Amino acid sequence: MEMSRKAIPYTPNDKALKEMTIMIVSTAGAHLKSQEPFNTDGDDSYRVIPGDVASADFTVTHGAPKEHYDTDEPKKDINVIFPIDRLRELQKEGYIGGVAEKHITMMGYAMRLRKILDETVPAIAKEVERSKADAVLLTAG
Amino acid sequence: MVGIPTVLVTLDPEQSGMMRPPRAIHPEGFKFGHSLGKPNDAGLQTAVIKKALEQLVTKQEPGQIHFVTFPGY
Repeated sequence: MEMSRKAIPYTPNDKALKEMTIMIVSTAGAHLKSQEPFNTDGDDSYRVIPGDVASADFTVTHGAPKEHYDTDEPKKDINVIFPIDRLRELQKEGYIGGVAEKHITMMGYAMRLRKILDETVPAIAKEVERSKADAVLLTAG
Repeated sequence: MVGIPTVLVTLDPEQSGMMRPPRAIHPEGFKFGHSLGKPNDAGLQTAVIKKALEQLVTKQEPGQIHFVTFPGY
């Protein structure tokens, strides 16, 4: 899209990983079983995932055809798209400083690209800025 | 706005490249649904995540998508 052709939105980082709190932002369709599923016909919404969540509490809803993206795989182990257990382990071993107090998920194949660019992405950016995260790990299915 | 550093793990470097991600890796040969490796393969997932996080502390030209082979996949 036009915006991104102009410049690479690069933010320098001067912290070491062991000092950094990491947030996950994923478009792979992960959400809590207790949350409203994404609408596979098109969806510009996002879900806020609390930091203390259990990996078993997740499911996946995504609009892509199953032969393209088989959501049964991340349903077996959400860490393949939303690596909450892995990040906790990395924090425990001191590789990273911390895991964010919240994370953000949405669905790819979401169709409503204009609205997502104009409204959803700025809203997610605000969530990230308001958090104590030092960096974001992005995954996309 | 100061912004926040990001690193992307992408399985579709062509599509992702159009968005000019500042830091990114592409695990070669991974299927969609396996962004960070196969289910219940914590070792491989950790290897992919570490490779991604390393990009945050590696001095490099912004906008590259690093293709990485993970032999465990």
